[in-house]
Amino acid sequence: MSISISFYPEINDKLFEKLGVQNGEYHFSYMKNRDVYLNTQYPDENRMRDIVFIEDPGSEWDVDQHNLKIEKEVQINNPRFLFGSNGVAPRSAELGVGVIWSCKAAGVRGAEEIQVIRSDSPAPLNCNVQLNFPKSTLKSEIVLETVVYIKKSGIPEEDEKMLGNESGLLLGTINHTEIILEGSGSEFPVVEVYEPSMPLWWVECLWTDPQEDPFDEEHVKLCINRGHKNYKRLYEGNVIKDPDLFIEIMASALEIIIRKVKESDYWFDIIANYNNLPGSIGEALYYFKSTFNWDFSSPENLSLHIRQYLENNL
Amino acid sequence: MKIIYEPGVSEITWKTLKQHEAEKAFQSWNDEKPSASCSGEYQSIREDLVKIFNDVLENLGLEEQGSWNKQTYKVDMEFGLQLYDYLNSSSDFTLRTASSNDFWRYLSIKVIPDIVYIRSGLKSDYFYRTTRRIWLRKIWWYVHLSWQGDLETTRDTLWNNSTDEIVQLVERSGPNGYRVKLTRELMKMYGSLDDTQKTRSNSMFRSIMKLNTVKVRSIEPELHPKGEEAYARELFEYFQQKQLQSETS
Repeated sequence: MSISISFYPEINDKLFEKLGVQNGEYHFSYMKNRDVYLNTQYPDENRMRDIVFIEDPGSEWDVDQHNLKIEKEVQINNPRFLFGSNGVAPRSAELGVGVIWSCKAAGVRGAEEIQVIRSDSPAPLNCNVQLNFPKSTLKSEIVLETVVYIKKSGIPEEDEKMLGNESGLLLGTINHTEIILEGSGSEFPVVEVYEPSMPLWWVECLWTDPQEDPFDEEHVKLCINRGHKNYKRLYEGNVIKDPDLFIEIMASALEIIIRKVKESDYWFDIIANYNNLPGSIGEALYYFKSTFNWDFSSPENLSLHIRQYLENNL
Repeated sequence: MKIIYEPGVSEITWKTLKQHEAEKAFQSWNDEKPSASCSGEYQSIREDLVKIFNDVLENLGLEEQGSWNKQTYKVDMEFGLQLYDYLNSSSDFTLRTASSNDFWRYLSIKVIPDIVYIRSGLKSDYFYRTTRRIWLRKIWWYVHLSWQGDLETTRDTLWNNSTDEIVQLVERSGPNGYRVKLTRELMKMYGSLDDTQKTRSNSMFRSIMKLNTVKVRSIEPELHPKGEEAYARELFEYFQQKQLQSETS
């Protein structure tokens, strides 16, 4: 767990509003003799953090076999508000708009400059994000952050001395998007095991830092035991035979995970969504709270909300 | 038609081993030296890797059973370089394969567990448990993050390092992935220092990686106006100045 304190002003909600940032639609394509466009899906318009799914109507695009081109336009209606004592940089500085991409599952990240801004740049300012990833370099999901940073230091006026002015300094994020490339993004990690001497199911909590470790089977998992005599009551082939029993198991497993995290020092940061990494256990728990409105305040409320949700949605 | 490289791996569908499967196999060894359990194309991969490993030991004048002392790093580096070269010679081996922990688990537990055992004994972290410490994964990524365009230049760059540099580079990645352009610059600069500069401060590389971890919170190296090379140089200059100051004071 880390706490970062900034010693210079960054783009806050108020400034963000004044800037009038307009994020355009994402366009995804790949090369197969010509540019082939893919569909973009926005599963939840209301989420604080954008999540985008890629859908291929032709069912041909494969992240292992094809490149991925990502295009998007970001418009800043009033860039001048970035400059001066009420902004984030001296008027004489030169700013950059860049995009930082990270693909945690493939273990790589990078960044590119997309636009330069000066205090006298004409408004509105259009920034075209364009990234091209070769085949077999991405996995699972990619996170894009559009950021503003100091490209060239300025000479601060008397009222600008407290502003950041170091070349390269990040001044804030104006867009953050998770693009889901494969799978559904956050499946509950269920694994089947064969352990004749063990119960029908159990939960393994293997994380060290829930704000950093991903919500995947390496760090947390529900084990369903094929070696148990009641396994066939639950599944027949790959089909759930007894959905009520399955919901009961899922609900209990989620309760265990949430209560275990709640016992840790990370809890308050997690539910405040402070320092939760994308795809982490912390982010998943925050999502349950903010999107499904699960009440974590007491064991009985938690138990009730989880079951209500699962019974209505599974 | 795919080109089949020689020596190297031809067309293959890489096998994987989940953590719980790896754990089960590891426990079944009952604290004894493990043996391979693979067949088909993996048998020939095994033969190649065993030969490569034995050649590495022979070239370094080391015995399987003997004490390697300070040569452990040389084994990691040289076998890392050869493993990197060997796996990357297959057109089917991609960054996606290299980032799959379950791929490394299969290789460690099923294909060459005896080699991992020679290097580390029966430490579960090195075989499957702690992803960043799985030995084969760690030495492949060490070479990848240090790659200077070819095997010889990369070997020259890494020659005077120690196992601590491997740990610092591979395990101190930052939570969202490696900045490959930056790590290659850092390794190039570190590799160009002469031995006296390194020995004056034994933990210089560790300090640089720590400083970098703090610095990337406010500066993205690839957005540095003069590029990641300038960013890397600033990190080194900071420490060189600090050393000079402490020597003159």
